[in-house]
Amino acid sequence: MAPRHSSELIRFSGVGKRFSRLQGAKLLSNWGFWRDELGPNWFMALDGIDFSITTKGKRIALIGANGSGKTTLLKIIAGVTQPTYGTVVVNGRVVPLLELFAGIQTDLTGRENIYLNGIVLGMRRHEIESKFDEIVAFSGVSKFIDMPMKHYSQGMMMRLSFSIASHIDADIMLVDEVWGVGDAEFRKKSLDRLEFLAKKGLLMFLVSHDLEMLRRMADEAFWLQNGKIMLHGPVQKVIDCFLQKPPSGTPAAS
Amino acid sequence: MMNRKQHASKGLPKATVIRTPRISLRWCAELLLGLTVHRLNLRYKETLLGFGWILLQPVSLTIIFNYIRRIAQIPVENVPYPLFTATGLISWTLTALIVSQSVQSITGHATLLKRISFPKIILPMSVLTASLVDLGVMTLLLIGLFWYYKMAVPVGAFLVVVPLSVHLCFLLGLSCILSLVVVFLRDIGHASSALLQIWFLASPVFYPSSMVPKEFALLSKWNPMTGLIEGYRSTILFGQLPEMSIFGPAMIISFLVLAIGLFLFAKLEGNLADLL
Repeated sequence: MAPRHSSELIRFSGVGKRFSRLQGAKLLSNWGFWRDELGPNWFMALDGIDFSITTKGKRIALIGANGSGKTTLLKIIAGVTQPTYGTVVVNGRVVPLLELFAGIQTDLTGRENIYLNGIVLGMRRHEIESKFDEIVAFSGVSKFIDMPMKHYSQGMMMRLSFSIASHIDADIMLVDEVWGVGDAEFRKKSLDRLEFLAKKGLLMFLVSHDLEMLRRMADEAFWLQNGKIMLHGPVQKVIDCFLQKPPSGTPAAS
Repeated sequence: MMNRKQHASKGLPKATVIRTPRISLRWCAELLLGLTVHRLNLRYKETLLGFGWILLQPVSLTIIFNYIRRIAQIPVENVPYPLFTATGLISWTLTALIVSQSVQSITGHATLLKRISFPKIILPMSVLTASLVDLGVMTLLLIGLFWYYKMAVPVGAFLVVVPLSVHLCFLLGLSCILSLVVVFLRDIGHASSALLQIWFLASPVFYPSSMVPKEFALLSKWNPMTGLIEGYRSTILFGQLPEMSIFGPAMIISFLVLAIGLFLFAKLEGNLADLL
C-alpha cells in the first residue's frame, strides 16, 4: 500500500477524532467505547479534516481558538493518538515538540537526559553519540552537563530540550508553542534554528497564538474551528480572515 | 510502522492509519534499555544501601521464618530450612516487585504516552527487565546459603530456566493486565499491597505445598505461585524437573494470563493516550 502514497508527506482524508466526556471507570459504562455511535457522552475534537501536503520544507501554521482541535491534529500526525475514522497517511520521521519539558527526568544529569530523551524522541544511540557535542554546544549549558537537572533553571532545561529535539534528522516536525519561554537571545537562536531546518527541507507544523510570529515564520496556514478546517491558504490571507472573524463567532462561509 | 485500526462500521466510517518508516525493533530495544536503566537509577541513586535494599527483605524474612518454623514445626525433607525458604522468597519477591511496580507503569509514564508513539508494551516490559537485575542481586543470597551449608549446587540446577521462563511469561501477562486496569480503576493501586500480602501467605513460600490441608488443596493447586515455587525448589535444590501434577496448573494459568494481557494490550494500545 505504501508506494502509492510515496509522493505525499501527509494526507488526511475525512479524518475525525472522538473523545469521551467520561473518565476512568465511568468510561466503561460509556458503551459507545466499544461500539461506534455518537451519543451525548462523546464530542468530536476533529470532524472531517481533509488535506494533503506533498512539498517538503513548508512551514504550516495552525491557528484557531482554544479547543479548536490544533493539538489533536498534531497528536494524530505524531501517532500518539488514533483517529476515530478517516484515512491518515504519514510518510517520514516525525519529531514532536509537544510539551517540551515532558521528556525531562529531573533526577538525571544533563548528559543522561540527552541520551534518554534522544532515544525517546526516536534517535538511535549512535546518532546521539555523533551529535552529542553539537547538542551541548547549541544549548549553551555545557558547564552544567554533569549536574542533575533538578538544579537547572527553567530556561536551561528549555534550552537543552529544544536543542535535543532540533538536532534530530526528521522529515516532519511538530512545534507547539515552544518559543513561549526562554530569554530573548535563545528565543532568537531557536527561531533561526527552525528556519534553518525548514530550508533543509523539513516540513513543519507550528501552533501558536502569537500571530505576528506566525506571519514571519510560516508559509501556509490552516484555520481550525470546532474541529473543521475553515480556511487553508497563504499565511497572510488566512490570518487576516481569522482576525476579521472573531474565533467565537459562528462558522463563516469561506 | 504500519498500523491500521479498523472499526466495525456502524454509523461511522472506519479509520485507517498508514505510516511509512516503520518503528525499528532496534530502536525499541534501545528505548527498553533506556527506560530500564532509568528505572534502576530512580530506585538506587542517592540511596545509602543501593542494591542492598533488595537483599534486605529476603534476608530478614529468611531469618524470621527460621524462627517461626520452630514454633510451627514445619517439616522439610533433606534440605536446610533457610535454603528452602530462600528459594521461595526470591521467586515470591520477584512477583511482588513486579505487581507493585506495574500498577504504576502506564499511569506513571503518562507524559511519555502523550508525547511519542511507540509500542506501549515496552512499559510493562521495562518493569520486568529492571526486576531481572533485582533477581540477579537476590541470587547472591542463594549462593551465600549454598556456601554456608557447604552444599554443592546440583548438576540439574540449570533446569531452573524452565520455571523461570514460565514465571516470566506469567509476570509479563500480569504486568500488562495490571497496568491497563489501573488506567480505568485507579484504586487497584492501593488495593494491590493488601492483596499481595494475602497472596504471599497463600503461597508455599515458607511451607511445602504438601502441607496444605485438603480443604484448600484446590485453591493451592491453581495458585500459579505454588507450581512456580515448587518448580524452583525441585530444580535449584534437587536438580530435577518439577512434577507435572504441581507444575502443570501453573503453566496453564501463566500462559492464559499472558494471552489475556497481550490481547488487552493489542485492543487498547491505540486509545491509551486518550484515556489518561
